Amino acid sequence: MAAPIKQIKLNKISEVEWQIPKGEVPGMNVPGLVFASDELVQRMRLDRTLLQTANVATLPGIYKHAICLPDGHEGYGFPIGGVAALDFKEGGISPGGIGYDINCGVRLLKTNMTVKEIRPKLNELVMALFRNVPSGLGSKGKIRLKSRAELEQVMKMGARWAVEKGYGWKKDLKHLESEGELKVADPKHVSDLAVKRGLPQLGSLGAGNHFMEIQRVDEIFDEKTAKTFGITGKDQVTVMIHTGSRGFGHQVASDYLREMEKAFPEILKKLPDRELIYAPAGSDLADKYLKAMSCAANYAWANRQMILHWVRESFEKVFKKKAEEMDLEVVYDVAHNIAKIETHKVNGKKAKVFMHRKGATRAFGPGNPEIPSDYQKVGQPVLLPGSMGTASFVLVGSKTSMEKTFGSTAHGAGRLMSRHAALKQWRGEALKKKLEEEQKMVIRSASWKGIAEEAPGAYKDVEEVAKISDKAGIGKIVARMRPVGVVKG
Amino acid sequence: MKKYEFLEHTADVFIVGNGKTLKEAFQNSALGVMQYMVDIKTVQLKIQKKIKAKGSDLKSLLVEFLTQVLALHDAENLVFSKFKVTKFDDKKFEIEATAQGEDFNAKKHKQGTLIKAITYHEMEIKKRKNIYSIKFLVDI
Repeated sequence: MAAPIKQIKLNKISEVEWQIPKGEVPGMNVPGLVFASDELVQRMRLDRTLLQTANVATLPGIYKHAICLPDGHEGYGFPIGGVAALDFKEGGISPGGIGYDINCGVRLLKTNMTVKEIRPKLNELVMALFRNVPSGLGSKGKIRLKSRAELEQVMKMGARWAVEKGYGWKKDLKHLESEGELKVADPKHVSDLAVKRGLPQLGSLGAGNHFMEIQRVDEIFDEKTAKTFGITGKDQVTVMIHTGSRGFGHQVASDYLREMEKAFPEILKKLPDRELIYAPAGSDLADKYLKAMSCAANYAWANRQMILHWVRESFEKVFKKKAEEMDLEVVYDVAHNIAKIETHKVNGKKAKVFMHRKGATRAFGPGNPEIPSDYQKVGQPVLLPGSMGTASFVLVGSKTSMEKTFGSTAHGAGRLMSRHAALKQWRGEALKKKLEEEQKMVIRSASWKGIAEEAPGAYKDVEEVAKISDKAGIGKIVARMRPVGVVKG
Repeated sequence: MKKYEFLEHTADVFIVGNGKTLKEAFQNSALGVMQYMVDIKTVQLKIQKKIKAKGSDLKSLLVEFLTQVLALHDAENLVFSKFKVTKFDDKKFEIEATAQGEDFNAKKHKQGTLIKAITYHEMEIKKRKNIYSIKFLVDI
């Protein structure tokens, strides 16, 4: 491919932790901290994951270290699986530290049914989900908002907007990160083009790696915590939803990348990578971007809330029972592409920061006021989706994650193979058949190409990612689920 | 000369747009973006849209231009199989183009993969043996 990649020096700290010493790239303000096994480090060395982590360490006002999580892989600007806390006054906010799909995230639902009970109707259920939740290219929401004013309500209220419109239950909100609503959002900083892209797509799954999955609980590792989250036994049926803010968020990100480049050419010149551009703390653009990005985050929470409602409707239709009777409730909902204002303890002092998590999940420990009251004692659930056909995990945040990673851990399996290579290796039709025959899965997708690109073998082993998170203590393993039915975007 | 090519990247994909002129390379870059999302052979020329974009350099002009293409797809549910650059100013970094295609129809068009955004990551605009090549990474 292109020019050889600069090799980054790593000092091993523990079995699963590595330090990138300051000075590995010029201008690093802090060291890098990488969570990986020996094997995953070798993988990271094949692309720019480690270099990008070191580059992040050059950002101003960064605290402690630039972090790369075990699912880390090359992104643009930040690696995917990157975490950085930049001081609220001396630092800044960087779209490259969030990603284009603002508040791409995961929602997990539980039921009181077992896989045995649903198996006879699995086909019907997957078909109902495929029909009820728009997915794939050109997927439009079923309700079409007509004006900017209407969409502004979504931008301001997030998931609460959806609940007030009849999508889901009020108590769902308690089990969403930030209760599905960032109050700092201000629609006046969102462009008309973003609105145009966002209007038709609200209430749709989209494409790419986005999916809905019917799962069965495969193993419980921490019974007490699992029970607190409503995960009570093997073979219990759960549902996972993975999507984000659609074209709306992509446009907000593109808009502000351009604005920041224009406004800060001097910063741009000094940066090791154009896509690390940031708006310095205190600048007008930092304020505007935070508020616009929060609008996109709220859009995503409203989107997942609407999809939840259609999942409930699909279950009701297929099983001819009320969602309440099936205990079809939200376990939790996490954002894994986001920046937020948070306060963290650094060297015994409180620091207010722009907390960047790109392909990283918040993992707050027990007692944190940000997590729901019923989870206070055990910590925040962390949802780690696997790739199609492989397991997903529920982890829990801990005291250690608060200390080591600003309360963050991995977000999924992380790609191993390019989409292009995956397309060469697998054909969608054959792969679907294989998964359906060997694993008794039911799969529906808008695109064959999508299935091949998202083949399980194209991803890092999610088990390995979860184990490293557990070993490092930054997200302890609670339960593992396996897919039985998949709707791919 | 291939109009466009796809190259590997771990998480996403590189698209290369080629042309005898920069203008043509821009056109073919847009075509590459569309082909990644839908098989453009199945797209008929029924509707024509105007696209205007402005950048601060060539790279940002490309990002702005292609972002407009993605926005048209999202906002109006259109897919395109022909692009024509009608005005190309590489001093002021302004572009005007027409895009021809039709409404996306899942029954008629073979779907590829949705592109979320155009990035600057490892972007290259090169001229080799009188062929302009634009390489850019798209976020999937």
